[in-house]
Amino acid sequence: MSDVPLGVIDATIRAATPIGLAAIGELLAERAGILNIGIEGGMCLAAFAAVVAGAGSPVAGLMAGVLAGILTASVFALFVIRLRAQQVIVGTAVSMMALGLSTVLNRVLYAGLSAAPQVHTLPPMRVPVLSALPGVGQLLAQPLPTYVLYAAGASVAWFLYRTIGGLSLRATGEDPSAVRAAGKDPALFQWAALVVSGALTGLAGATLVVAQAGTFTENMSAGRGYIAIAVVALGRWTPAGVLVGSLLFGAASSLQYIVQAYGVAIPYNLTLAAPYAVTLFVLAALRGSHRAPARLGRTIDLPG
Amino acid sequence: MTRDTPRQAGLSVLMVLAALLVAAAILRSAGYDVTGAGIALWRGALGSSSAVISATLKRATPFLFLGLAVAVAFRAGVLNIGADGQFLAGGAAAVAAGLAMAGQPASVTIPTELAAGALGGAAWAAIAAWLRSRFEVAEVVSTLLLNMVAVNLVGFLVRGPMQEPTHAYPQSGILPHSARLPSLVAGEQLHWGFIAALCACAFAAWSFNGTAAGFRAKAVGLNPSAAESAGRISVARVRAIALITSGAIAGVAGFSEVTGVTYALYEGLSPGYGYMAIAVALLGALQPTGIVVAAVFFGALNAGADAAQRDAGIPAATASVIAGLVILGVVTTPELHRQFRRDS
Amino acid sequence: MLLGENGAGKTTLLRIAAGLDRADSGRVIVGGAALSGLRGRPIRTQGIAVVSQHFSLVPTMTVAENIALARRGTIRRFSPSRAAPEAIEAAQRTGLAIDPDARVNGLSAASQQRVELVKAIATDPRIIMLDEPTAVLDPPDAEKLFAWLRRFVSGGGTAVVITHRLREAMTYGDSITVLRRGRIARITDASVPSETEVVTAMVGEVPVFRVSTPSRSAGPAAASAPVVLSAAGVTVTRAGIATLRDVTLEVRRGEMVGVAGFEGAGQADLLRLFTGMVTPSRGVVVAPEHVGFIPEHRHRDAMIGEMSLRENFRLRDAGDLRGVIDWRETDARTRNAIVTFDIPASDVHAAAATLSGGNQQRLVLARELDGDPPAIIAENPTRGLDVRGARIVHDRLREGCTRGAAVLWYSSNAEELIEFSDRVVACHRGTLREVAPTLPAIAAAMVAAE
Repeated sequence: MSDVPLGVIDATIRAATPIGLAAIGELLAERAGILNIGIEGGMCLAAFAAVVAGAGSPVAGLMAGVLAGILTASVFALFVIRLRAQQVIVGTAVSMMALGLSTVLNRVLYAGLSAAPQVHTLPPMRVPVLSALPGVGQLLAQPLPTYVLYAAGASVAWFLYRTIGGLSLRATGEDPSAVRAAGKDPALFQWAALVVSGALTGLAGATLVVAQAGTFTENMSAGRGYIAIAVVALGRWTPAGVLVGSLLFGAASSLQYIVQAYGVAIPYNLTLAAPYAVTLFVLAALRGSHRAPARLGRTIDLPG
Repeated sequence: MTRDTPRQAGLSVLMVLAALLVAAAILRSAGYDVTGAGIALWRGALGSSSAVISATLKRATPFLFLGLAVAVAFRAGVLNIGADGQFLAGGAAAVAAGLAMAGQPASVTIPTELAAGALGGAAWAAIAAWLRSRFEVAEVVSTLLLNMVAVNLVGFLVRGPMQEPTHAYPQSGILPHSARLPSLVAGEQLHWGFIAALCACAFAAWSFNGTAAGFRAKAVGLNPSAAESAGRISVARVRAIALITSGAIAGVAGFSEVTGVTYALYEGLSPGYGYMAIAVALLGALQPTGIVVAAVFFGALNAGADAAQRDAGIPAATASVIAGLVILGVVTTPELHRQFRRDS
Repeated sequence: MLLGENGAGKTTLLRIAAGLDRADSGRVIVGGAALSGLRGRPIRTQGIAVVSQHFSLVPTMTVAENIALARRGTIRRFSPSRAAPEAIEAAQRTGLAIDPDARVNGLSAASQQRVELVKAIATDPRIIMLDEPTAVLDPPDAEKLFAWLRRFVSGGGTAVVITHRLREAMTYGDSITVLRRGRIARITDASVPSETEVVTAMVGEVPVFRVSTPSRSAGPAAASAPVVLSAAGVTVTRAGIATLRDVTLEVRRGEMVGVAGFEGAGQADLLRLFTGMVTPSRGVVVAPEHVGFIPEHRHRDAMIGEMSLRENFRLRDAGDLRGVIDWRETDARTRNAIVTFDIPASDVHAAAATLSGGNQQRLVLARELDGDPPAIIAENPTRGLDVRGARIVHDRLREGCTRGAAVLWYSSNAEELIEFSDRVVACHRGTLREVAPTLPAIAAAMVAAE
């Protein structure tokens, strides 16, 4: 009884951490009215950056991932905010470019090797006393990025609901002309949201390498960016909801673990499809997107 | 259609050239022999009649269908990012039909496979349409998720119910000859799917403007509120029909690929075709004639990238970097800008 | 005080002065410094607060959140529990009542206007610019507002108020600027001129609409004509708010009925009842199957600029089209419309966006009047048109009426309504009342129930 649930909780949090990080970032962008499906590619490119810089130390890997994430998000922001191009299309393009680039660079740098090099991974950080608690203790015996996720969730919640800047950012996603009328620049909030979102996406990608796999494989993000977008909808566009949503997705992903542990005869590929199907099902059950920011995905109208 | 077509075409060509230059610069800085790669790319794509027919046009076929599929949805303002999943669903259905009809003559088998492919793709898209109308789930999110489900479902099928008889490889049984599309030119790999795709584009070119359904979709895509108010058009209905039609065309793309090229279903059937199809549709300005040109370009790009990887060691993924650059270039040109500024 | 008729350029001038729009030429000087290159840039930093006619409130947020939105700072603390008392405190300075916890999209136009004013005042501006602030306010609230404005001005502030109400301008203003068709017609000290002087400056020597027009329909004879449009005891509810309450109206064959009312008074839903776009929650609506409909927002609701003239022509009732489109027949009808409505277009393939606003409106009219529909609904059809453009619209509507159509139209210009309608009804907060076709009667009915 005791070993298996612990393993499941651990697997849940492992799967939930990168998705939660990316989803918290995406939440910020979506509250500012921006739908960035480019985070899938951003995550992969960041994972690659992490393996390159991670040769030095895992923390350097994290930093490199964050930078790569910010860079990818800035390209997206440039086209979407400055050049006013359609968000979903630019997101697709940025995703393709970043995914392709990570593959190309991987072949360029590690052409002679059979795979990208191994890097040291971050050790779990145990919170004294609390991590020894049965069950929930597992939440507090995780590598650094998981704690960043907790902190990011809390600070995004604080920013969105307890500061004037957060209020303005939320208003940007609902009605940018009202923000402009209040003497503020909605584009500025969108830029800021995207840069922070890029940093968190990058951290999510780096987490895959320096906190989990220890190496890079091509197409490593494997749809986690897309899942993060679904998780934002799943979480009804609130930080707490997004955290719960990513844990739910993590739990659905750890299904394969349970299946193995209990010897249930469900084909492996079906357990892989399950999290996506479950996400769709929950989205439908929650009645989809009617609580989305009113101007989500739309380019801001020019003044006048 | 629009007055600016020549200008638009000029801009598209310019964007493609710019994308190629950027890609070349990246490869050069990585220490590759760019000239050698360029030659290999040319040879692989256009260097001989065999390269054109067996490589470029063969690889252009799925892009013709999928570009058209994406355009049908985009024209109505539906952001169908799920052509990949619909392609897989259509391919799986076509293979299942083909295997089930072993022993029947081709004249019966192939139409059945075609119908199965179209239905498979349409059904997969219909899930998203249903989730939209019944549960208000945005198509962008649902079609993306359905892509992931489709990939894993195909993975399950080729390891489970549809696995080939020896159970050694993760793929379906091989389609019998009566279930394959005949080749178009003797000795070459190009199959009749290419002609079917051209016919589909020709039909679309007529129906986009000549039929009530095409006209309604265009009106809804350009200005849903005017379509609703002045045209008494049910925007939700038109969008659902566009999405399902788009899925059916993507399903036919899957049919054409399994019956004309692979003769079997396997996991990697689509190396991101559905996403590249977005580039094809946009580069073609959502017009069938433009899509034909863009699809042949993407066919050549992929054929050339294969050759460049083989001969000069350039990673084939360079093609997707170029595709991304092309979308970014095109999406900021004024024509498309107008088309997509006011989406749903 | 800034006065002028509809379309005289008041709002444009105010937006440019506030830095919200950029002028094609010339300079704007605020407090001695020129505003330049400010398109789309924030202006609150200059201490200018603007209240536009179109509300700039976030509909999905609460009143308190909207008021806090105007405050500066990024990580400055925002507390929902403290925002409410702060909002009330700001409101109390003016005496205007607001409910800080209410969501804006559930508020009436008058409440939204109060929130908008409190929001502007809460920022402690040096200059305040108000565009038609009293248009949707109740008279007592309007008085409170002006009382506050007087205190604000005597405390050293500057206020610019756009109004079309002469008496307001003359009672509360220090100086009056009259605009006419984009030019300043007169600037004067508020205490000097007589009302007639100002009116003359507003409308010009010749009243704009006193031009030769087709005579009215038979009048009394129309009373026996069959009823084409009718609404009986109709109530329309949107998101729990009644936009129309127990409204009854009949429009007969060959009759032209004008509707007066401020934005949000209910006339929009009243007109759209007969097009089938608004469904009543109570009551009975009778209308013919085909109704010519000229919506107020041309670009949003009536036409698609990217489409060609013939496509826009074909757009009408495209929802009922089946199979293949007969473009030849559409082309013939479009060409016919181009000729009869005198639309300066080279051919039917030209994009509608290439036409001027007035010609676009003609295209819409041509399409909607094509086939002589038994009823015509027109929402503010002369909005944004010059005098000539307006005249064509009037003539065509009148013609349709003479041919036997029932015409129901709304205009924000009361003089126009009086001039061309057989009868005038006024909307106020979702109720409807027949009024005498005179300016004072209409104005009174628009601001207060009986």
